[in-house]
Amino acid sequence: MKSTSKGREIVEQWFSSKGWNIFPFQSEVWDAFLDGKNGLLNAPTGSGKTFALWMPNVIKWIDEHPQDYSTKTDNGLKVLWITPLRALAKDIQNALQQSLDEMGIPWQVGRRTGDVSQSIKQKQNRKMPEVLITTPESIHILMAQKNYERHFKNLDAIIVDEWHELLGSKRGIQVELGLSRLKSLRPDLSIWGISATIGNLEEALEVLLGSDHSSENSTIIKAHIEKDIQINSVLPDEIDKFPWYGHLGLNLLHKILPIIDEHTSTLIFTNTRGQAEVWFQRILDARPDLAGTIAIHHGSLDRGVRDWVEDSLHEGILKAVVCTSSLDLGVDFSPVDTVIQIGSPKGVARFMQRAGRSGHSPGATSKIYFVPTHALELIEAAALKEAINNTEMESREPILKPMDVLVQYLVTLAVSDGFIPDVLLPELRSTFCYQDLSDKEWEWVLTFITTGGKSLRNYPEYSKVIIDEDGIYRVIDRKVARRHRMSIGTISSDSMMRVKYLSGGSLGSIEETFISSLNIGDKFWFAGRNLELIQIKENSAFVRRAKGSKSRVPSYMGGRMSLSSNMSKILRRTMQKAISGDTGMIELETISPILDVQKDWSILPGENQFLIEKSYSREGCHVFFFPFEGRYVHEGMSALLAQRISKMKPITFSIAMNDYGFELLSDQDIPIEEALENDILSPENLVEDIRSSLNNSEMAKRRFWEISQVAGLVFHGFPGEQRKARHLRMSTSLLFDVFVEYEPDHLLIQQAFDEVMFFQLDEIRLRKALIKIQNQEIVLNHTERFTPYAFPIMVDRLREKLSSEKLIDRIKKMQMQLEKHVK
Amino acid sequence: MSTVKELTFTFLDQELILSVEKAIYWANKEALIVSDLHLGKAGHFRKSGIAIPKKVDDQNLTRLNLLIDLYSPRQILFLGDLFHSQKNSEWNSFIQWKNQHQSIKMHLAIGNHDFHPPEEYQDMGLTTSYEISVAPFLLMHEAFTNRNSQGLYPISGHVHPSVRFIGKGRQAKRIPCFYFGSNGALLPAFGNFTGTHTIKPKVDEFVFGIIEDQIMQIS
Repeated sequence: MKSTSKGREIVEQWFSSKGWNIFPFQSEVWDAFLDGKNGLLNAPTGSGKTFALWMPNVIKWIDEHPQDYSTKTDNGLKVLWITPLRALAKDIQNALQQSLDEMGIPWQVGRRTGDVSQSIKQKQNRKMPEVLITTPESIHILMAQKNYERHFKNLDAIIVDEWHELLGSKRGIQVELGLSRLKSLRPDLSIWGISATIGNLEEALEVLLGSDHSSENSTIIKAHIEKDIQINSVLPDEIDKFPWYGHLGLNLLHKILPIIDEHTSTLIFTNTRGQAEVWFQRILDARPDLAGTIAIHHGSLDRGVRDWVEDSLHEGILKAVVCTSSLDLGVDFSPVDTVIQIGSPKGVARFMQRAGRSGHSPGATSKIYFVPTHALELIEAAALKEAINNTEMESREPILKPMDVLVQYLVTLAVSDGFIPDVLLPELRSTFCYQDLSDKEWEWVLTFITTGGKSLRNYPEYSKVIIDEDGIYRVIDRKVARRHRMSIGTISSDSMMRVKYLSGGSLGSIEETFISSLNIGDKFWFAGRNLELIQIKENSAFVRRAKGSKSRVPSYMGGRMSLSSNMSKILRRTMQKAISGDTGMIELETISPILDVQKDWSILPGENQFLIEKSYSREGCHVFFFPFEGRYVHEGMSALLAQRISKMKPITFSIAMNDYGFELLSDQDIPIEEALENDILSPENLVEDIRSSLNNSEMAKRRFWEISQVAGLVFHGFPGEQRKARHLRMSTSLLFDVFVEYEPDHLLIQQAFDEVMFFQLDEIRLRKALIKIQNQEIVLNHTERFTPYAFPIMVDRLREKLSSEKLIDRIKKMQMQLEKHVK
Repeated sequence: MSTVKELTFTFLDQELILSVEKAIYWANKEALIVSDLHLGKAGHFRKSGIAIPKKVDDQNLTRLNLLIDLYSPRQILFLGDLFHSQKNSEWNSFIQWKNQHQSIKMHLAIGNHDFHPPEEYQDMGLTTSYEISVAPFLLMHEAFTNRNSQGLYPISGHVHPSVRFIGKGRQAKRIPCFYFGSNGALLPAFGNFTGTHTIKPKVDEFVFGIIEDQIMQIS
């Protein structure tokens, strides 16, 4: 059903002038787009997805202006291209601009992201380019400008790139809100998303198009590009000497070096920035000759440093780069021909994404090596191999009704041209996320932005928005407006400190909490360099190069991801194989001596068994549970069980967990036998019991930290007067306490609890896990020693607390820390 | 509101009543001693865009009233950091409160947060100085080790002291405290939400911990 037109001919000619074929999926997208349909393109990076959605805009333009398409300038903004990553924006800009130039179309392609200079932005404000590549935040910042509607009066199409990355995050909500506004301004807007393969593509489309779209008018087009992925596990020579726990994986370093040597260019993915620093250093120590040809790349490094690494990768002058998720997305690094993943990638999709960074061109094979950091990860390696063969992908669950983002959006509109609630409400309800926004919630939000709500009433600082005589909600105060424009965004972070050389030159930023733990003269690793702290001035840490080996590695917040439910399902299945002796896989064969130890000291739990191990040490009583459901579910389940046991008698728990199980530790005997008789694993009253666990309120506090920033309750400060993170964090925890005490029905507090249930504890998965356990045989083993399953959890130092004992009784059992002095 | 609980500690022949509300009533001199109120902290944060309800500050004054009712002191000695920072509406609340207690003499030992000219505090009816010397004690905001204490025993604030406890089962807990050490005493911070700093006492020193609504001698 190919229709021909002048536009189509010109585009086809351009393709053949490049020596390219038009893929069937590209042509399919062009037809649907030109047919007036909205939709979602499912295609991996490096498949030609950009041109699939770019060309129909060009065709349309030419067909609408067959005579003067090559001369007509100043056409206003026609196409908005949204990307989650600033780094991608530049590449897309170049690609689109080049195609336009070569086809003789005088359109301008502009970029508007956080790192574009103020003067370019002002030029755009006077005259928008025909195509603007931007991020979700930047669209909202645009909408905070007076008369912002003028920018969009010619807008024809919005393309949302990497939609799977945005979906399921608050940045995705920003996209939904932005689209709802622009759809009202331009009802005939074409809206298309591009997504990698995820488990819920249909839902992804619905979220993108909103609750008011008609299904006849939308479509999902799949590129059907099969990628060959070759997975190899790096195996320890002697499993007896391979550790039972750990997260660095350095003992396999000697096996990594030959891989780097054998390939042109290698990406080495680690799970944390700290781990990346350590690996970079150790590779250099082992192979000084690689200096200059290996680099490090992570999110804390300066844009300039990262750009250099990316450009060099692109040009093929780097042998290897140690990186974090900072290189998951983005630019095409064609010279990269192999990828090494250190430690569990926690999900199939992430693993495939990373594998896909090698052999980037269509048709090429991707090659990835998995390096386990401890023995049990060998099972994950086997599971990943299985999963890739069956292409089982994770879903991205969309967020519903986050009040913080809504508060921010309403103030944004009030800052620019104001809004009338009755006009805006139907627009909000046309989005997927706010389709069920109740009248009561709507009232609450309006009250909150105008008066600060019950607790904050009478503070002029919080009556941000006023209602003028025409019933329009506006921000009049210029300081409030300025402050708001500065804080638009949904990514909260710890306050960061710049790391600079005394002689000038900046390296990047580190969490303030790390820097403040250092003394002047202390040494630390950063950006792959050994540095000495010289002084701290304003918001910068000044350093110089240092020598010596006693340097610390910054610890970064976060970085403790959980196994996806998909991954834990496959893991469980793989374990079952190992139990039934079906060790066709080299990874399972390698780990079998350790599994034998587990079997000797306890059991290897099968798919129908739920293992609990109890043992005693000098520290007290340990009880380990093994649901194999991933860290987040374990966080919830451990809080739940601790809470339920603590109702039986006054007791204090210290709780640790990993992706396989969790531990309750107490100074006194844990009555697990009795607890099991009382059915503590029941899914009944799940929500109530978790809510009442003290632990939960700690987690809610941490969530509230982010929510209060998005909703504008706390403010990071204007540039040059950054506030200290410690102060901010203290005041959010104070706010939380005050709201809980004086206004417990505060919607932002409710949101904090809901987010804990939804993201952190994953209530739905938790409930499913408990139901599953109901049908499993519970095996309680008293073990003499910590088993291979239990040991990695036992040694974890990061712990949650839960207590039902009176503080004074606990203190009486403890010892005060005294100054150590020799008498 | 917690009930006031107390513990009498006789030290250098003086009768000191240590209150769970983080204040000392010095019975011999009928003086209430409090330190580090940091009043107006809420307003200070609000000015910088952080919403802290005023109730936080109101509570400090409510707690002071409770102590006044209980001990009927003739004087109140503030050991510094009375106000957190710039003047804001909490100054007025304080002046109002002060006017309700005309009969009580109030004195401020100036601390690092009390950076306004002394006249401003005097205008409110407070007398000010850096040190208050009433034998056998020398009271001040911050005790410097090299300061000559004229043979008097220094009592100060500033540090917001707490002690750390550790127990079996990887338990640990921090408790705000009164500390009477070999070189001087420290008062816990009276103000709500002011944070603490961990100190490590020596074996033979006196420590009184504030454990929720109870006060307990720890060593």
